[in-house]
Amino acid sequence: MAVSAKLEYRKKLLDDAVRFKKMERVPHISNFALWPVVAYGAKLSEACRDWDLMEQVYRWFMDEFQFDCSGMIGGFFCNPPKMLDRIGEGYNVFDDEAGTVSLEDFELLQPDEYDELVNDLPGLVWNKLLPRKFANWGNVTVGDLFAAAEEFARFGGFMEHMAQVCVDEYELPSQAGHMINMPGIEILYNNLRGIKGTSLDIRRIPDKVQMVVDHYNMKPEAVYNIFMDSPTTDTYAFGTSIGSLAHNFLSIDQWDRYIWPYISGIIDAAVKADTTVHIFTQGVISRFYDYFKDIPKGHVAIHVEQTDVFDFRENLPNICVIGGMTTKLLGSGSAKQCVDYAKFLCDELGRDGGFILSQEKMMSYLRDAKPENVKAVCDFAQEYRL
Amino acid sequence: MANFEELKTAMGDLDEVLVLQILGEVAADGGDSATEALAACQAGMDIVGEKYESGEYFVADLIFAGDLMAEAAALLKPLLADTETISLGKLVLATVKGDIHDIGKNIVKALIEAAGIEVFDLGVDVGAEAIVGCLQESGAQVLALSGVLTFAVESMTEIVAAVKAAGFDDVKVIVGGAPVTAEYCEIIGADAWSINAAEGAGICRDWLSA
Repeated sequence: MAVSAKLEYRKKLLDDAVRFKKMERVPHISNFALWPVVAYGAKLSEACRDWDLMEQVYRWFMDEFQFDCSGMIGGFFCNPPKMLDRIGEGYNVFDDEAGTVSLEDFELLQPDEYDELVNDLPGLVWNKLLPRKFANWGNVTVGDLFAAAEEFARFGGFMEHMAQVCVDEYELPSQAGHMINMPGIEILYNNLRGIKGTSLDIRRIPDKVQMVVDHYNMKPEAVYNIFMDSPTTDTYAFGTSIGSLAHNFLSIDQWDRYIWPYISGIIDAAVKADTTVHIFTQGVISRFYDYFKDIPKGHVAIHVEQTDVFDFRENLPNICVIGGMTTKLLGSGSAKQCVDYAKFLCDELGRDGGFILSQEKMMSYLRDAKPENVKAVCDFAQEYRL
Repeated sequence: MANFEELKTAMGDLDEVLVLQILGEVAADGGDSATEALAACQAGMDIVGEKYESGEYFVADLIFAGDLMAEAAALLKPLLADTETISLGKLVLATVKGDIHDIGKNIVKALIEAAGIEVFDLGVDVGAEAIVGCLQESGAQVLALSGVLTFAVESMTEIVAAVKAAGFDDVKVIVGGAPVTAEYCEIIGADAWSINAAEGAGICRDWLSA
C-alpha cells in the first residue's frame, strides 16, 4: 500500500526515537481520550451514540491539533453504548454536567467459574455473562440482538473508516501494527473480575488465576510468528502495542508471576524479529525498572503516566520514554509555560533519540488541558528542530 | 484458648484459612476472648501496613486485607459487648462529588477501621451538604476525602470550605487520591494529604490518639 511522504516521515521519526537514532525533531503522540469530546462542546452521552457527531469531533481534533500518531485518539470508542442500549448495559456512568463517563467496578465472572472460562467460553458467555452484563437480557428479543449486532457492525465500520481518514487525510500512522493478546491478568482486571475481584482471587485461588493467565497469554513463538508473518506495516508506528494497568495493584511477587513472563516474551520476540514494542503503562511503573534494564536498546518504548520521565531515563537509558507534558501545566499554565517545558523536555531527553513527547496522563476531562495550551505544544513540536 | 499471637501473625501474613480457624475457636469458646481476638486482628493489620510500606505487599494485598478484616469483624461483632466496641474516635469518609471511584476509599476504610476508628462511610459522589450533615450527626473528629479524577480537587475545595463555614474548625481534614499533591492540599485547605492508603490511615490514627 502506498502511503504519503508525510506519513512515512512521521513513521521514521517515531521509529528513530524508539531505536535511539538522531532525530530531526522529537515526535509527538496524543494521549487524549474523552477530552476532545468535551473540548469540542459535545455531550459525552450524545457523542458516544452518534457516529456522525463523533466524526466531527475526531476531525476537529485533528484539524486543530497536529500530532505525529493517532495514538489514543480512539480511546473514547472503547465503550460503544449505542450498541448496548437495546440490551441494557449499565456499567457506563455518564455525567454530561461534569463531562465524565466512568465505568463502575464489576464482577462479571464469579470465582467458581474459572474452569468454564477456559473450557466452555461460549456456554459461559451465553448462559451467565450476558445475562449478568445486560440488565434487560431476560426481555431481549431476537430483534434486539440483531439490532445490537447491526450497531456493533456500524461501530466497527466507523472505526475502520476513521482509521482510514487518519491515514489518507491526516497522514497519521496508527499506533499498533500487529495485534497481540493483552496480558491475561489484564483481562481479569479490566473485563471479567474487576479490580476487587481479581485482587481477592490472586490470594484465594492463585492457581485458577494462573490457569486463565496462561490460557490468554500468547506463547513467545506465536508472537514471533505474528511479527514475521507480515513484517512490513505500512501505516503503523510500532510493531505492536500492549497496555498495562494491573501493575498498579500487584506486588513484585505477583508481577513476577502474572505479568512479567508474558511481557518479557513479547519483548524477546520483538527483539528477535527486529521490530518495536509500545507499552502503555497507566499509573506508575518505576517499581519495575529492574525488569527492563537488560533489554537491548532500540526495541521498546514505554508510555509513562505518573512516572517521572527524567527518573525513567536515568534508570532505563535503553528504553525509549514517551510522555512528559504535565496536566498541571496543560490545564493551569500559560501557553508559554507549556512550550518552555516542552522545549526543556525535548532538549534534555530527545537529542540522541529515545524520547517521544506526549501527555503524562490520558486526557479525559476538560480541565486536564486548555485548548490553547495543547495547540501551542503541538505547533511547537512540529516546528522545533533539535 | 485461641493463640492470639498466632492470629496476629496470620492476619499479617494474610492467611485467611488460619485467621478464620482461630476466630472459629474464639466463637466456639463462647466468645469471651473476642476483644483480645479483635485486638490481635488489628495488630495483624499493622503488620500488613508495615509490609506495604516495605514493598512486600501492594494494593491487591491491601484490598484482600480489607476483605479479610471485614470478615473477621463480622464474626467478632456479635461476640463483643457494646462497651467493648468503643472506638479510638470517629471519622467521616467519602469519595467526593463527581467521582465514583471507591477502590482507594475502601482500602483506606479497611485500614482505618482496623486501627480501631469508627468510620461513617458516605460512599461515592458525595457533596458538601451530606458531609456537613454527617459531621453534625456523628460528632466525628476527622474527615477523609477521596478522589481520583482531576476535578476531584475542586470538589474537595468546595467541601472543605463548606465544612469550615459550618463551624467545624476543629475537624481535621485529610485528602487522598491520584490528583492530590502537597500544593493541592494547601489550596483545598486540608490538614494533610496522602496517596498512600497505609500512610493516610496512620495519620488519622495519630490525630485521634493525640
